[in-house]
Amino acid sequence: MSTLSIHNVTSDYQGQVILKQLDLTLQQGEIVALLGPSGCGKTTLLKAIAGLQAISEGSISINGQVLSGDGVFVASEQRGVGMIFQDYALFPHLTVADNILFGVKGLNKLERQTRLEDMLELVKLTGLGERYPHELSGGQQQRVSIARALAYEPELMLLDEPFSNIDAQVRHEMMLEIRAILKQRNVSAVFVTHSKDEAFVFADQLALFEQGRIVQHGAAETLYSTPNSHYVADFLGITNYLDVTVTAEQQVDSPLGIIISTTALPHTIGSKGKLLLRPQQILLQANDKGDAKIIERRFLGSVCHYHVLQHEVFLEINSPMMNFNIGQRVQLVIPEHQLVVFSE
Amino acid sequence: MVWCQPPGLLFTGSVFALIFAFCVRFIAIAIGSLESSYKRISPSLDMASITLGQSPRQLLRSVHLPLLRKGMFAGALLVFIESMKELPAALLLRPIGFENLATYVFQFVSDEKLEHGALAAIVIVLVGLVPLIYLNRSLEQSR
Repeated sequence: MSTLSIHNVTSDYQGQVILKQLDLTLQQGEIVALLGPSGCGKTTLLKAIAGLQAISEGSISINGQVLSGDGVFVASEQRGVGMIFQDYALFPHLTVADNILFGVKGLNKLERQTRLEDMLELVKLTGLGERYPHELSGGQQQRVSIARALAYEPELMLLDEPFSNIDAQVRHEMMLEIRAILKQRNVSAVFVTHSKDEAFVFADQLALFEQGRIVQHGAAETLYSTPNSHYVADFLGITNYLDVTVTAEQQVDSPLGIIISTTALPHTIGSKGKLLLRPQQILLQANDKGDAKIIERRFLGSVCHYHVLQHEVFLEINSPMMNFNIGQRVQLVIPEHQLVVFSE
Repeated sequence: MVWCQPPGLLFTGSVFALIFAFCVRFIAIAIGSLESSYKRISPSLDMASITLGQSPRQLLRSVHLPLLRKGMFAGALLVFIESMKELPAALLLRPIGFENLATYVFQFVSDEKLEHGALAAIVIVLVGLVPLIYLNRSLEQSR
């Protein structure tokens, strides 16, 4: 059963359309990332789900109950969604304990205490209940806000760029930690971010936004390896494009020679297009008589990032081989893989 | 019956007019002080509170009012200082026989009895100074 179901949602603000006919469903326990540049409407969708933003068309339902749409509007405070914010949004005048128990109702003193202890243990802040938010680090504050949202036992968790204020060194670890907590509690979550790296680490599904539309939705791997547009391909990583002609069902002719695809191309034979090549899909081989020349080299730790020129074609290549120098001649090899060709 | 008696000289015979005039004159200061502390409350606090099941009234009581307390106190202090120094409105609207520090000083000074007005004038300066020190300190803390 799907936890969250968004159908044909359109939203406008002062005559400007922000969301255009969005469809999205989320299974129980699944985490979806809404990914896109700033101002593309992803936060607006999050607010619409929380009931903080009105929608003009379509419907939003959680566990089969319509919250927005069809003449229904359930107030935010009755929706049972937890929300995590970029600036943590902890109440500065309340202790950590009071913050966590802020939304907890209908429990006696003992049950409240048990809930608090559980939550503090879950987010690894045991013993810090009497502190005030300003006495904690950014990461700890965000963990308190996670605990506060979970203590409320929401049916759905909404996270609005929760990691952008966290130091880069601890961000990755913290993402894994919070992801594990959500998975352990089987809480479905919608996660808004503009960083593809965060989305890859944190989410099960990606929904890529462009100006109020979802342009592609699916597993991160699917979007990365078979994007449906230049926009998706470029957003998810470095891209090289080659002008190619489809010469057979599984073969294209490119300025670098014939390239074989492991799957059939949907294009008609003889049609022209742009072949997408990720930087790691091109291999470098040392060859003094090679056609390609290294023109730029940058060491990135696990790989080296090279700029390579061959017959006026400029390529960006990531290679685990570190020993090529600027000016050196190399041979390019493109192994068989599932080719993605965008028609012109 | 008390309630049907004419109000009498409510406006000119009591401090009501004076208080009313001060309210109108200084409300901008109080609002300004409150507004600046409202601006410091992040809108995400409202959203957090609402999504945690609190009604707008509970939001006001358990989040906004505690966070605005300092701003309200500062606003009240500023209005107090201003009211204490305010002369023209007090001269025009005070009931007969009613003096505040400003009118008291004014009368002696206009009669050139400077030494009689001096003490009250110093009191104005000193009483005005205490809240300023407090405000300055709380401003420095919030930085």
